[in-house]
Amino acid sequence: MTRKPEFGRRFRELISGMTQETVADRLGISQASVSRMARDYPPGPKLLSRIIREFGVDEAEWRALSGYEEPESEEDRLTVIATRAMEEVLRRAGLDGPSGAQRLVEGLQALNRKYGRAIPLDLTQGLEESERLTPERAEAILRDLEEQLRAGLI
Amino acid sequence: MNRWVEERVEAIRLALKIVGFPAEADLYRLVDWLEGCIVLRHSPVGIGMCIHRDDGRAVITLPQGVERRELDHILCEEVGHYLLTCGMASLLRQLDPADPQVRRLARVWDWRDEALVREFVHAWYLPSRLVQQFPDDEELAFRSGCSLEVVVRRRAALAGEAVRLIGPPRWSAAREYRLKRQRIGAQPYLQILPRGEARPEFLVPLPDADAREMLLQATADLIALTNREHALKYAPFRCTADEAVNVSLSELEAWSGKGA
Repeated sequence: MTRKPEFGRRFRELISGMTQETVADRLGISQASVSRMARDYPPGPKLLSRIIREFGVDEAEWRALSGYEEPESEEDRLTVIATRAMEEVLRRAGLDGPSGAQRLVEGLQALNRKYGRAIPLDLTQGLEESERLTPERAEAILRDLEEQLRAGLI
Repeated sequence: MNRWVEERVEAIRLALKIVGFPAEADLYRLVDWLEGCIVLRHSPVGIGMCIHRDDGRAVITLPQGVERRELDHILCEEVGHYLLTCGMASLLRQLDPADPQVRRLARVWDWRDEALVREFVHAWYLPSRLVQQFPDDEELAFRSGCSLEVVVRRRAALAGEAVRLIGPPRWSAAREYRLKRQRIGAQPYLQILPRGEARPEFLVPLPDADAREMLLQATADLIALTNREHALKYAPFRCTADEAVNVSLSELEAWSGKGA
């Protein structure tokens, strides 16, 4: 992925006042990844979605800032594919990426900010002990919760 | 053993008229009995969840594509969450996940809630009186359909004790309300009144044929439900506040056709 100075500038503004450790915690990534983004390297699409949800920023604007709205060069396209594949391999090996519980808590906070209310949620086997709570399931739960919020069910 | 959980299950068994081990359908009878309190839905989320709403009701989501026995277990756990917990761990985590003290507190609530719910599931499938009645673990496992491991753990947790209701439990709506019968013309009604008050809060029509049955059911409901649950279940029978009726003569004339 090529450097995007405008992205870096806006990202640094976004996280100003927070430590990189806090940002890394909130996004469920390493400090090195935060540092990389602060040095003008835009994130992969998944991480970008998480930033948009976590910080409640404008989706279209941040996709454009990260270069996802522009026609990609073949090199960019391959870099994105390789990065995604590497993230997936690391995640499966348990070396990187947020756990399901971490992902769910981040998402709940984002929903809390967006809808102005906390969600009292109990999960089968609890949040931290549940073997079923994979990051994918956490994402599915968050989508489901947002549907329920929109429908006024909860 | 948690007396509160055991009492809740005993009272529910009384209201649902379950004498022996619960049959498969009894869990769904429990959900029906909690009508007005629980909204049940299915979703492809892959995990069971219970969301406690501000109005005291709960939305229980069951995962799609899960086998019957496992689904029953998940449903039983989530009903336990509705009856015994309030999603406190999740609320704390949304408060400030960066604070290690809040994180620790959330974890403690999680453990406490899961322990309560596990106990509810065990008490549902292995009621304390039946555990006492069948001293042989293998026979108990065979009759209840539970694994030997669960049976052994349950017996150890009960330590020979069996919980019996000796009156309305302290958390029960029966401590706050009493029942009276009333007849308006030929129609019998059941009044549910807050103790110490003369006006009914709920008025339930009693069909003559089933009057005794409904009276007993209403009494068992009062014992087995908390105030909040009872108010939700009996909401269709709630008496509204008095409203003065003022009809003007001109309205009457218009109504009778005289004003035309």
